[in-house]
Amino acid sequence: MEFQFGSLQEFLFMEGHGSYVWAAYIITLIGIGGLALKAKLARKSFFAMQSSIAKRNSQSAPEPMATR
Amino acid sequence: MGWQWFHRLGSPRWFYEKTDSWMPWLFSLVFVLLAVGLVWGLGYAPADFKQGNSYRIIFIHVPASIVAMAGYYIMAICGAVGLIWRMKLAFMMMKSAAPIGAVLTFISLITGSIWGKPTWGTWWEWDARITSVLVLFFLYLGIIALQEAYRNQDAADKTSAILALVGMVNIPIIYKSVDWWYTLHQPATLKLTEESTISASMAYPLIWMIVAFYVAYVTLLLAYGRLEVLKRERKTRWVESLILTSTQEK
Repeated sequence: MEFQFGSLQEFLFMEGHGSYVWAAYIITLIGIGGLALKAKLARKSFFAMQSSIAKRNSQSAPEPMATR
Repeated sequence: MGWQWFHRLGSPRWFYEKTDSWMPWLFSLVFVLLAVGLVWGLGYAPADFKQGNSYRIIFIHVPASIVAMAGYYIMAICGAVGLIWRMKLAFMMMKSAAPIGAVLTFISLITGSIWGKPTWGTWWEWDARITSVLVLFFLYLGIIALQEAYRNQDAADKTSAILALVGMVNIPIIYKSVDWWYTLHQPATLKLTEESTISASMAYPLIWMIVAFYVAYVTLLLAYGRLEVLKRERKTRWVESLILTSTQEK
């Protein structure tokens, strides 16, 4: 198994098919990478949102009793 | 004893805690599998004697299409399990599967279109295979829309599960469309039951990429499923304590 192209130019040009092949690969990477990134960001914002809600609730709620 | 795992699977908390340590490993595995597969497909697989280098799109087009269809079955089966056994976790996974499936179907359509231009001379053709995959894309969008349309989560889950099950009819149609109708789309390259019409030097990177896409799918499904668990269980004590820990870590 060897690298099929002689130079970087040939690799990018791919005998005229380069723009098609590279566009398809880049769109795929954006799609899959975007899904992963969105999961990560949504998780972060969930924790940020919920902890700010919890903080607000604990400020407005009466202090819990120390002894029962 | 034998059914204990099934009951445990119904517990979103058990699922969340079990998969917690898997996620960084799975994401690293996906990264390595995709990186190796992309370099292999783009640079090391030989050019096709008829299609030249444009055929290299096969290494993403075919895996994306296969996993988009398999993902629909996974989504529909989750919906059925949720309807039959009233398993909350199954509905959460069903909802999580929809956006991932939609993106994969979109990738399949777009890469197919880009491949079509240099090969068939057209970006789009109302061909049986392409049209049925477009229907698959709309089914995924339908599930996403239904999930957003209801204020009551239970009603949203049940309705989308029914749509997912009805839409399952489309999958064998997509699969068989290249055999049933005379179409522009070429028939399957890899075959399980007979000799494949592809040389090993091209088949190995293709199989590699199919595996990579499956692992990526499972990883993303787990990640979105875990997020859905957190959202729906946010008022339970165990999620509240997770939120508290996340605040203290900052």
